[in-house]
Amino acid sequence: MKAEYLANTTLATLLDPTATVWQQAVATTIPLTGTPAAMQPTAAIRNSWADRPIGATSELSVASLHNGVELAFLLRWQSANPTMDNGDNSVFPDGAAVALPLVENAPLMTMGAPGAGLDIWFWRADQGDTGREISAEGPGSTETLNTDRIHSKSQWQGGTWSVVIARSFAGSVIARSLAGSGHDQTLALSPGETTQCGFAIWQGANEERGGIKSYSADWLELQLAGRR
Amino acid sequence: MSKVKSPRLSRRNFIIGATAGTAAVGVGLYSLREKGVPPAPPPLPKVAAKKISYNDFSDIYREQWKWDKVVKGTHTRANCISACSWDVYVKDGIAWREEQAAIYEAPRPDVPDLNPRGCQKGACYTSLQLSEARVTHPMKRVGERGEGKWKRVSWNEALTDIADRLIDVAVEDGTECIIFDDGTTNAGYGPETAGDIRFQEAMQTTKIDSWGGVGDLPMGAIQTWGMYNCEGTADDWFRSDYIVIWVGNPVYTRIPEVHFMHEARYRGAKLVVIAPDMNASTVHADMWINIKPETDAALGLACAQVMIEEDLIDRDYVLQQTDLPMLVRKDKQRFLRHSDMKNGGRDNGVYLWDEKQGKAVLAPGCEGDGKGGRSTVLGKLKPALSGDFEVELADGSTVEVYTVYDRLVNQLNSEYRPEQSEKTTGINAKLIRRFAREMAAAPNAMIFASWGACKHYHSDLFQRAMILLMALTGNQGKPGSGVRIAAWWGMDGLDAVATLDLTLGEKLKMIPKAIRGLTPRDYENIFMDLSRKGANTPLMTFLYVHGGYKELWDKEELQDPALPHNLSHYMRESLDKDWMQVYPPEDRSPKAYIFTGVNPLRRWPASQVAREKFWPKLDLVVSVNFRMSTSTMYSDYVLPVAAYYEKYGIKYGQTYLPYIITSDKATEPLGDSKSDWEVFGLLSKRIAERAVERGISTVRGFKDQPLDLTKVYDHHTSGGKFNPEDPEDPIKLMDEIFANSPSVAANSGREALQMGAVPIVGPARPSLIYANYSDYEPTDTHWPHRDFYEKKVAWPTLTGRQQFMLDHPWYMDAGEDLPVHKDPPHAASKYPMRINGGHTRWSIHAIWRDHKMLLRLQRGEPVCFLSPDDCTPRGVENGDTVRIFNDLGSCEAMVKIAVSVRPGEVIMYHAWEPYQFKGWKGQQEPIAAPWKALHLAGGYSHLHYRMYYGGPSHAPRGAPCEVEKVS
Amino acid sequence: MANSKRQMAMVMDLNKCIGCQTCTVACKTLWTREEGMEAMHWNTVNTMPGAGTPKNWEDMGGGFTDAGAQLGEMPTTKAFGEAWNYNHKEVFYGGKGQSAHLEIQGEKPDWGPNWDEDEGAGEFPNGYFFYLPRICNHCTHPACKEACPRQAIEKREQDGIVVVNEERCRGYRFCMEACPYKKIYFNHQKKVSQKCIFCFPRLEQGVANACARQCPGRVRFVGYRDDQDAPIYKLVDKWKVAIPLHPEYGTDPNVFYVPPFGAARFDADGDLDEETPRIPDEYLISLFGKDVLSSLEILKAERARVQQGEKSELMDLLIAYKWKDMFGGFDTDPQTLKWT
Repeated sequence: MKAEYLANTTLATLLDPTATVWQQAVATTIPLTGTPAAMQPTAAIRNSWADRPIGATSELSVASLHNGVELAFLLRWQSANPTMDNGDNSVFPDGAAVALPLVENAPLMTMGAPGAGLDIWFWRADQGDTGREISAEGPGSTETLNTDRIHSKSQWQGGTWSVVIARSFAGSVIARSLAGSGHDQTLALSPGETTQCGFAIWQGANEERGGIKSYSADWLELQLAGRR
Repeated sequence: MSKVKSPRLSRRNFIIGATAGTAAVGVGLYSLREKGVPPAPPPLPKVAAKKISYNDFSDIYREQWKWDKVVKGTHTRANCISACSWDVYVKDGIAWREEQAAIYEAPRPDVPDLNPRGCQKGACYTSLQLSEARVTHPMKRVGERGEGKWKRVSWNEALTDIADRLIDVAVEDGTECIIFDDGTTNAGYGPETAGDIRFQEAMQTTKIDSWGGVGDLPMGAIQTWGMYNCEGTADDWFRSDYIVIWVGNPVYTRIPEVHFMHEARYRGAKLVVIAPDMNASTVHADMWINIKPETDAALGLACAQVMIEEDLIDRDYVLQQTDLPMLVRKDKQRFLRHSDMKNGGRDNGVYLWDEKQGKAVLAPGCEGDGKGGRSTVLGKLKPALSGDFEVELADGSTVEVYTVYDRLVNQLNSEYRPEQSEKTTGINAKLIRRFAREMAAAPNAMIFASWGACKHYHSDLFQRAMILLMALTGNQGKPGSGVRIAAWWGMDGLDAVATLDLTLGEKLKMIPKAIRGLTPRDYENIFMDLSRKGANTPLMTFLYVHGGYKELWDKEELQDPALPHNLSHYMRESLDKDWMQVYPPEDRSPKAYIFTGVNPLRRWPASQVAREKFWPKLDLVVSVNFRMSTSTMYSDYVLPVAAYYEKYGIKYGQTYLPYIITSDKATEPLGDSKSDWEVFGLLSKRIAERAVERGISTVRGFKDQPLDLTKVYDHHTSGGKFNPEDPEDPIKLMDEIFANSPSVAANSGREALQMGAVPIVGPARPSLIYANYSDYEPTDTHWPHRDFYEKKVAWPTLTGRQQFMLDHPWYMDAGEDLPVHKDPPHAASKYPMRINGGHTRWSIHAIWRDHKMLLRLQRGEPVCFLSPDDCTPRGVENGDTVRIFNDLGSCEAMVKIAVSVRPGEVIMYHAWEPYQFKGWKGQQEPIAAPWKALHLAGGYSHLHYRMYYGGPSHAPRGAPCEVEKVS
Repeated sequence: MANSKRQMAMVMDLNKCIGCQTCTVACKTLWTREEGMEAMHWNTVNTMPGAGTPKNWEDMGGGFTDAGAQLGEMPTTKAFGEAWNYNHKEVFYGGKGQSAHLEIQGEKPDWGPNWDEDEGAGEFPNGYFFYLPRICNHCTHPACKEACPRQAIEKREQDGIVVVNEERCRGYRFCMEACPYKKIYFNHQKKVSQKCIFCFPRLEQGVANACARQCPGRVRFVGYRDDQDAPIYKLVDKWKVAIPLHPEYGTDPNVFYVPPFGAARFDADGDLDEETPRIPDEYLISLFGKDVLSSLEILKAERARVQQGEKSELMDLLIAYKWKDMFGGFDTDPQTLKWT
C-alpha cells in the first residue's frame, strides 16, 4: 500500500472523506478477522465470548495520502447499525484504529509485546473529530499518549462508515506518566520511508470494545511517497 | 463535648412567668432564678488532616472531600418535629454539603446515645436551597392569581405597595381584617420567627391558630388530661418493655429517633404495631395487629375489658390517678358535685367514697376541692373503686351513686367484650386477649401515637381508649411508659421573641398563687387569659365563618348521626357563649392575607373551596417564603426569605432530643432574599413611615381598640431596642433568649450558634406549648407526667385526675361521656374506597416534595398505594394513572400496587404540591375533612378553647372515594 | 488474585434499616454530583422482595460459577433509573396557569432506583418486605477486577478497597457485566466506569464512610475485617450472625448483613401463627444462602436470653450503646479536620 504525496493539500481537505483527492486515491481491500476468544486477556471475557461471534466486520477498504506534513488514512467498512454512545450503558460506540509498529514486525495480534510496541491512531464514533494516540505493548496494555494529535472526520452513509484518521509525521514528546512504551516520543515518520500498518474495527452493535474487535491479521507494507 | 451539668433546677422554685414559647404572647413576670449555667466547653480542637496524595487518579476523590469552613446549621422553619444539628461544609463560598454533627451524649450508660440523627432530607438541604423552586427576588403578580405571570420588583416597591394596602385595610376595616398565618409550628424559637410574631403583634392582626387546623390536636388527651404534652426524650423509648406503635408510623416520621425502638428489641422489648395497613413500621415489629380503619377505640376498650375482667389492672394507680373511683349520680349519670351536696356549693367539686369513713368525701385535687385543686394525695382516704352507695343531698333527698369505674365496667361488659370488638375491628378475639394480657404484664408499656393520632374524625375517642389502657396498667408517668404524642422544651428567654406582656394588675393578681408555687391548673388559667389577649382564631372555625366552608361542613352526610343537631347549631352556641373566638367578627370580612411558609391551598381540606370562596375576598395576598409553593403561586406578592443556612435561627425543640439546635449563617442570602427578621422589620417600618406620610395614625386594632400605625415599628422593635436592618441584630435577640434561659447550657447567641446543639440542663417554666410536667434531669432519660405520678400534683382537669368521664351536656348527648367507639359519619358513604395516608418519609410537608434529587428516588410524581385486590377488578396495573374521586372533587395519581395495603384503602402520603397534579387538582380536592362539633365545647373546666389547645381538629382521614383508571 | 494485607468491611443490620435513604443521599451529595454522575447512586436501598436496582439485577449473572468467571448481562441505564428533569420554570413562571404541572421532561420512565419501594410480596395480611441497602461489596475476589482487560480496577493493598482507576479505564464496561451485584455505573461524560470507593479519602483520615456515619438508623458497622476487638469480626466470625449477600456469586463480598426477622404471621382465623415465619425461609436462603437460618437462630436465642434478664454480648453489639463504637476506630469527627 502506498500513501501518495499531495503537496499543497490542506489537512482539512485530507480529513474530508468526500474530498476529490480520496476519490482518486487507490484503495486496498483488506480482509479482517475477529480476535479469537481464547486470546482475550481475562477469563470472564474468554468464557463469555467463547460461543459468540467476534468480529462483525469482515473487510475494510483502506487508502492513504499525505501532504508532506500529515499522513492520512481513509477507512471504509460496512456497518448496518452504526452506534454512538447514546447514554445507555448497553450501547457501545463504533471504533477504528490504525496501528503502526515501533519495531518492525511487532506482533500485531497481541497488540505488540514488551519491547515491541505499537503506535495506534484511534477514532471512536462518540468522540467527535479528536482521536487518541495510543501505545500498546501487549494485551490490555494500551496507554493514551495524547488526545490532541490525532485528527479525524467521519461520515456514515448508506450502510458504510467512511473515516479519515490523520496525524503529522513528526513524533511528539510523551508525557512521562504515560510512557509505558519505554519511548520518550511517539512514532516519528517521514516521507519516502516504508513502514507497516495494521487495522482494527469495532462494531458497537455487536458489543465490540477492547479486545472484542475485527483486525487485519497481518501487517501491510506501507510506502510513504517521497518528495518529488 | 461533655454535657454541662448544672445544679438541679426544679420547677418548684419558680415564682411566676409563663413564657410564650413560639406563641405570640409572653408574660415575662420575673424569675428569681439565677442563670446557673457555666460557660459551654470550647468546640472540639481542630486537627491537621494527614497529607495524603498518591499523584494518581485517586487524588480526585481526596480533593473532592475538602472544604474551606464548617458552620453549624439546621432546618429551622421546615416544621420538622425533629431537630438535628448539622455541620454545613462551605467550599468556594457555597454551602456544599452537610453532615450530621453527631455530638450528643447519652444521659446514662445503659441507654444508647442519640447519634447521629438526621435524615435524607436534611442531608440534601444544600441542594434544595439552590434548586429550581427557590425564590430569590421580590415578585409582583402581573397576571391572574395562579397564572404564573410575575414581574420582578425592588424591595422598596414591594414594601411600599404592601404597606399602603395594609394601611388601607386598617383604615377601612380595622387590622383584624388582616389575616396573618404562620401555620402551625412552621416557626422557630429565634429570630427566624420572632420578626413574624412581632409584626403580627404590632399590627394586631388576626392570627390563625392552625394547631387543630392541621389535625395536630390530640383532643382526646386534652379531654382526659386537660393538656396533651406527653413525650420525653427518644432514648426513653429504649427503656420500654412493650412498645405499641398505634396510629403513628415512626419508620417514616421519626427517622432520627426510631432506632431506639429497634434497639429496645435487642434489649428484650416487644414491638407491636396497630395499623390497618402493613406500613413501614411493621417491618421491624414482632406483632402487627391489622385493625379495620377507624375502629381503634373498639380495640382499646376490648383490651380494657380484658384487663378488668382478668384483674390485670394496677388498682393503686387507678385509685390515685384516675377519675374511676369518682362518684356518679345514678339518676343523672353525672358526677356527684359539691353543689349537689351543699347549698351554694361549688359545681367543680366532685367526690370519692371513702371506705374507711363510709361516706362521700370531696376528692382531693379536684378543681373544687376548696384548696385550689393542687394535690391528689389521698392521705388516709381509702377510696372505693366500685360500689352502690346512697348519699344525702343538700335538699335532704337521697340519691344513689356508684363510681365511674362501675359505669365503665357495665359499658365494657355489655359492648366491648373481645368477641364484640372482633366484629368491629376485624381482629380475632384471641389476639385481642393476647395483646391485652401482654401489655398488662409488661413492666413498662408505652403507646407511641404521635400526631397521626389526631387526624381521624373520632381520634379523640381513640386517644381516650389508649390513655385508659395506660392508666389501668399504671403506666402513665413512668419511664418507657404511657401514651406518647409530643412535647416541647420551653426556654424562659423566649419571652423576648414576642412583645406582649401581662398588665401589672394581672401580674399582681397572680402573686399569691405564685408564692405557693404555680400548679398545672394555675398555668392553664394563665394560658387561657393569654389566649384572649390577641385575635387568635382556630383555623377550622375561621374557615367555617370566613373561608366559605360552611356549606360543605353543614352537609347532612358529614354530621355525627348521634348528635341531635348539626354543626351550625353547635357553632352558633359556641360563638354566642364565647367558648370559641373568631376574628374578624362574623359581620366583617378578611381583606388581606399574609402567610409565611404555610401552604393553605395545598393543606386546607378541599382547598378548591378556599380558592373559589375565600381567595376572592382578599384584596391582598402576600407570601413570605424561600420556595415557590402552590399557595405562593396564588399570591399577589412574593417576598423571598433567606434559606435556613443563610440566616441565624433556633429550631423549635421537641423533647425527643435533650438539646436546643441552633443554625448559624453559612453563606449570605441568595439573590435579593433577606432574613425573615429583616423582612418583617422592614415591613413594620414601612407601614409606620407610610402612615406618617399619609397622615394616618389611629385605626381600629384588636377588638376595635385604637392602634397608632405610626408606632408600629416602635412596638415591633420594643422601643428601638432592635434594628432589624443590622445584620447582627438577630444575634442580639438570641443573646437575650439564651441569657434568660437557665434551662439550657448557653449564655449568649454566639455561644449557642457555635455549639449547634445546646444541651438542656434543667426544666423551664411551662409555656403555652411546653408543659409535660416532668423535671428534666441531665443524668436520666426524660419522660412525661412525673409530677402527676410521683408528686401527686393534680392534673388540670375537673377531677384533678386522668378523667375518663366527661359530663358536659354535649358529650352526654353524643354518647361520648365515657370512652366509646363510634363510626365516623362517612361510614355510611356510597363510595367503596377510603382515602388514608400519613406523613411520608420523603418530605416535610411540601418542602422537598418537588426536589428532583429525592423525586428520582421515588416514582418522580404523586403516587397512591392500592391493594392488588382493588386493582384487578378495576383493570388497574402498577404504574397506571388513576382518578381518585367523589362528589366533592378528584385528583389523579400514579398507582403503586402494594401487598401491604389493606383492600379498600387508597393510601396517599402527605403533601404533594397541587402543582404536581394534572390541572393542579391536589390530593386534598376530594377531602371534606368533617370535624367534630364537640370540639367547640367550652364552659366545662378543662373543656375550652385556648391558643394551640382545644380547637376543632382537621380530620382528613377516611374520605370516601372511588378510583378508576385514566385511559 | 492479589491479596490485600488488610480488608475493610461493613456489616449492615437489616433489623434496623428503615429504608430512609439517608445513606443514598449522603453518598450522592459527597461523591456523585458532577456532570455525568447525575443518575448514579453508588449506595442504593431497595425494598425486598423486589426487582431492585438495577431492575432484576439478581437475574443478570456475572461473578464466578463452576465454569469460571462470567460476564453477565449489561445493566442498562434505564434499569438503573435515569436522572429525571422537570419543568419547574414553565410551571412557576411560564404564565400557563393550571394547564402546566410539574412533570418529568422527555420520555416517561418506567423504572427508577427505588421504583418498587414498600411494595413487597405475599398476600395481605401475610405479605412481607424489608429494606436492603447495598454498596459495592469490595469483594475479596472482585469479578469486576478479574474481568477488566486493562487492569483498571485495583484492590488496594492496605485496605482491600476496590477502586476503578479512571486513568486506565477505557470504558469497555466488562466490569459492569462481570459484577454480579451490578454495582458499577458508567459515566457517559467521562466514558469511564465509576463505583463506590468505600469513602477511602475519609478512612485515610480516620473518618467512617459517609453512608455509615450518616445512617440515622445506626445500621452500619465499619472496620477492618480482622480487628478482633471491633464489631465486624465479632458479628461475622465470632457470632456468625452477619453473612454475605448471594454468597453463591463466588466473589467473597466484604459487606455482611444481619438478616431480618419479620412480625408474626396470621393464621386462617386471624390469630397469630408463630410457627411459620412471615418472611419465608426459602426467600431468605435465596438471598443469603443456607447460613441465614443459623444466623436467625442465634439472633432469636440471644434475644430470648435478654428477655429472661440475662446479658448478651451479641445484643449489646447490635444495640451499639456508643455510636462511635460501630466504626472500628474510624471515629474521627470530620469537622475537626483542618486542611492545609
